[in-house]
Parts: sequence; structure tokens; C-alpha cells
Amino acid sequence: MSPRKSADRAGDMMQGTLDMLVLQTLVLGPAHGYAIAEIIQRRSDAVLQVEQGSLYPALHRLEDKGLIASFWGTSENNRKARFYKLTAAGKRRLHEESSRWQQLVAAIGRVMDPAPRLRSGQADD
Amino acid sequence: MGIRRFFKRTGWDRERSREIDAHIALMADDLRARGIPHDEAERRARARFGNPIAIREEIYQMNSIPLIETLVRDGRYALRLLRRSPGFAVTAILTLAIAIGANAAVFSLVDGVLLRPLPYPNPDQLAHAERVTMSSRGVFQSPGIDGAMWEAIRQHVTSADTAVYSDWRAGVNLAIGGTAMNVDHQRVSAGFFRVIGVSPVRGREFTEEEDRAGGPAAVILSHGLWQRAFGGNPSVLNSTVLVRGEPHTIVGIMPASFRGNFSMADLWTPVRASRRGQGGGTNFLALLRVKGSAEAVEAELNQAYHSLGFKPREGEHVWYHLAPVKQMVTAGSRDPLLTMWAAVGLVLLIASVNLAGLLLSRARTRTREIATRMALGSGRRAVIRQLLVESITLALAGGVLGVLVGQLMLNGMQALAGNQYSLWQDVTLDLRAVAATAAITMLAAVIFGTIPALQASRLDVQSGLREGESRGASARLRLASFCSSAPVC
Repeated sequence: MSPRKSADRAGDMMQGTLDMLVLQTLVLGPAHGYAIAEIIQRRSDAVLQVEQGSLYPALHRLEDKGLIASFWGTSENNRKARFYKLTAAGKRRLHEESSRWQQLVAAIGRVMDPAPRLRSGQADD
Repeated sequence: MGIRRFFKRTGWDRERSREIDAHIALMADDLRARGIPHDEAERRARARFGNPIAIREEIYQMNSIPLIETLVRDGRYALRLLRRSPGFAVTAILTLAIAIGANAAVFSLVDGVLLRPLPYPNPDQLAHAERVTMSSRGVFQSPGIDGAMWEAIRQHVTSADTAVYSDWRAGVNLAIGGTAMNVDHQRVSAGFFRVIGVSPVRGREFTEEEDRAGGPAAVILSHGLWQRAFGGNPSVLNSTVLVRGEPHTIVGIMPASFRGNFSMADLWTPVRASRRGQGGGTNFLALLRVKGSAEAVEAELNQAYHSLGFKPREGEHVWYHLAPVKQMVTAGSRDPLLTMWAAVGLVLLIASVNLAGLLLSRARTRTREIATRMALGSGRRAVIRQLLVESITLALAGGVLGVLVGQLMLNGMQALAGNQYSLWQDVTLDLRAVAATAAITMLAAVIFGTIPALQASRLDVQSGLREGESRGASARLRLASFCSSAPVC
């Protein structure tokens, strides 16, 4: 429906990764947009900088898919803020995504491994 | 999900805006905690956040359905334009409304009266027995028969299913319990409903025994009366009511779907046509459902007539023939209806041509506007779509108003001629007719709305801008000038 569909597909991987990171952040409990960005930045030792320009569309997309839900609450320093929390569907999705991610990392790791070993009984998909 | 988001997108945007403000405030709080001065923290937080409008726009787009968005915008623009030239808008919409309304109203009548006049199974088989008398004074046709002829028909006619009824409908006093009401009453023979092809929905129709002089007094109710008088209670079957002060047993109830020429009464009793006494008289109509050939039935009818032994007067020839019910029912209204139909057809044609003229001449005055839009970067498709949406907006407004006009016209015609042509009363505005007429006018609007759009979008912008000022008639718009100078427009 959207004319930007093809562009979306090109960015799928990055978008998908950001979605996964957001979901992972919310495992610890509800958080507002600023906190989500901060947590990702801190836990990645400032390697991953989440731009607001992609964070809020991502949050909107996730909420639209029913993976997260939002509510207005009060922040630790007493400001009104919109908090997000994982839904049951979000938890399921996070579980799938993280196991896919582990597989992907392992697969890339094996390819990049300078001394490949033959493994048995563990087929890649 | 998508559609709901679409309608909520403005509210969502407000939410996002608040959320972004909160984000910036939180970020500024953090910066202040690290010792940055108050205003400077605010400024830095804003700078680091980037452009909030861009984010809001992106999310708004995610909620939007682009096609609907542009169509809504075009529609709004069209309405604004129409409001700016009320003379044009009123003329065009009224033209459309009258054409659509008149056509729909008359077509509803034509359809209801001429094309589907008899809501009974195989209405083509239904006919009345009609006596033709030819003498030096002319040819006379009379559908009335007497009790004796009815008995003769029953004896001789075997190629048709026959029944008889009284043409005479009258108000009669019906008493139920303590209350009395005046209802329309008609007398029919046993087998009448079988011949028509509509059976009572509850109970049964009259038996031969009830249809004989001195037989049990029975009555059949219309669905309407059953609802009105008994609230649709099924247990009234076999109970007794007083008709003209005499007790009658309710033996049947007709279905609500029993409509048309033979269902004008509220209440039926047996006709008891016979040679003598109460059942005599001549105001009976013999209704026949022809099973074999019409010729065979007519031969049998004449046999029946001759069996009565009447001698025609000197110089007079008398015979019976079949008068198809359909013809009889529609005879009165056929010609006026067809004339009216042709007339409103012309009205529709004239309206379409007028509308085309209006649209074309209007397009000419809009060359400058369109050229301006294209100079500002509007694409050809956008201009064509805009003009199409305008035409369709007009046509829609005309169509909606046309339904109202059609209903008014139909009511008017029924009030004027409804007593004369009983079938007209049943007719309701045919929405298919409205749709068909609206489609025709919409097509005209779209075609004549598109021609200027195509022309205009081929414009070279510079000359278009100039043309709006000077009067230089362009060769491209020859069709427009032709049509707006033609007398009919």
C-alpha cells in the first residue's frame, strides 16, 4: 500500500534489528522512549546510537503490530512520559528473534572463523 | 488495523508531539544533572533530538493511506471551488437532480406497472373470459358474467383452471370481540387463490362446500388485516368473527407477499355464484389459468355460452374470448406512461448535454488556474485527477438530490393518478433505476470533465498563463466553443 515499500525492504535488516533491541530493552520492565534509547546506548558501550528519527517510527510500528503497548506515566524525575511495555505477543516475538539472532551470529562466526572445523549433527538452515 | 489508524491519525500525531516534548525534557533533565546550565541544556537537547516534525510526518505517513488522503484533499478542494462559483454549482446539481429524479420516478412506474405488473406465478397464463357483442352499433366488450354462465363454464371448460370473483369491492363491517371496524371486502369462489397461484400462508382457501348457497360461512384475512386486527396471532385461525353481523369462521390468512391487482381487499368471503337467488347477478368475473392452448379454451367458452341457449338479437353477433389479465390491468396506464418515459428520456439527454456544455465552458475559464498549478509543479495526472474528482463530486451531489426529487415526483404522480391506476399505489422508488440513471449522468460528467482535463494538461504553461488574460481562442478548445454555442446547450 505504501510507495516506500521497496525502500522498507532494503532496510529490513537494520529495522528488524532495532525492533529486536527495543523489545529486548523492555524485558526489564516498562520504559519511555528516552530511556529505551539510553539503555541501548549504555549497554552497547555507546557503540549503538539510536537516532530518535528511527526510534519513534520503530515504536509506532511495534505498537501497531501489537508487540508492545503504551501508556502515559510519570518518569523517575517526575515528568509525564509515554511508557512502553512488552505484550505477550511481543515476548513471543522477542524469543523467536533472539534465537534467530543467535543462529545468525553463530553462522556468521563460523564463516568468519579463520580455522574452520567440521562439525557433525548440526546442520545450518 | 490500517483503516482505524487512518481515521485516528490526527489524534495520534498529537500524542506523538507530546511524547517528543517529554523526550526532549527528559534529555534536558539529564544534561542539567551533569551540570549544564538550564537554558543551554534545553537547547542542546533539542539540537540532539533533531527535527521532531520529520519524525511526526514519518509516523503520520505510516498511518496514512495515500490514495484516500489525496482523494479527500481533492474532494475538499472541489467543494471549495463549487462554493466559490455557486451559480455554476447550483445549475449543474439541479440539472442532474431533476434528470436523475424524473427518470428514476418514471422508470419505477414503468417497471412496476408495465414490466412487472402481476406479482403472481406465470401471469401470462391468467385471463378473464370476456363477452364480445358485435352489431351495427359497434363492438362491445364486457368481462361481466352471470351465475348461469359461471355454472356453464364450470361444466364445459376443461383446458383451463377456472374461478370466479366479484368485481365489486365494498366496505364491510367487521366485528371482533367488542370492537368493530370497516374493511375492504371482496367475494371470491373456491379455487380463486389456486388459480392466481398464491395460497394462504396459514389455513386454507374456500372449499366447494363453503362456496355453495347455504354452506358454512367462512372468511379469509389479508396479512395486513391479520396484523392490524389480531397482532399477527396465529391462534385466530378457526375462530369466529362477525362480518355484517353474521358469524364467520376464519379459515385462512394470505401471505404478506400477496400483492397486486387481486389483493386490494382486506377480507374475502365465498362468492357463491349460482343461477338463482343471492348468487345471481351479472357482476362476476371469470378468471382462468390457461393450461393448454388459448384457442381450445375459447372454443370451450363458446360451447358453454351456447349451452345456455340464449338467442342473440337480430343483426347481433355474440362470442366469448380470453382477455389476458396483464393487458387489462395495464391498458389504462400504458400510453401515458410510455409517453412520459420518452419525455423524461429526452430530459435526461438534454440535461447531459447541458452539463457537458457547463463543464466545457467552465474548463475554458480555468485554463489559467490549471496552468498556474502546473507551473508550480503539479503533475499532469494530479490535474486530471483533480478535475475528475470535481466532476464526480458534482455528479454525486446531483445523485443524492436526485433520489429526493425522484421520491417527490413519484409521490406527486401517485397523488395525481393513483386512484385511476390502482397498480401505481404499490410502486416504490426503484433504487436500481436511480443507480442506472445516476451512472449515466455520472458517465457524462466524467467524460465531459475529462476532455478539458486532457486538453488542459497538454497545455504549455506559458501560453496557458497568457491565455487566461487574453481572449485568444485556442484551436485545442474547439470542441468547447462548438458545444457552448450550440443552441441546445
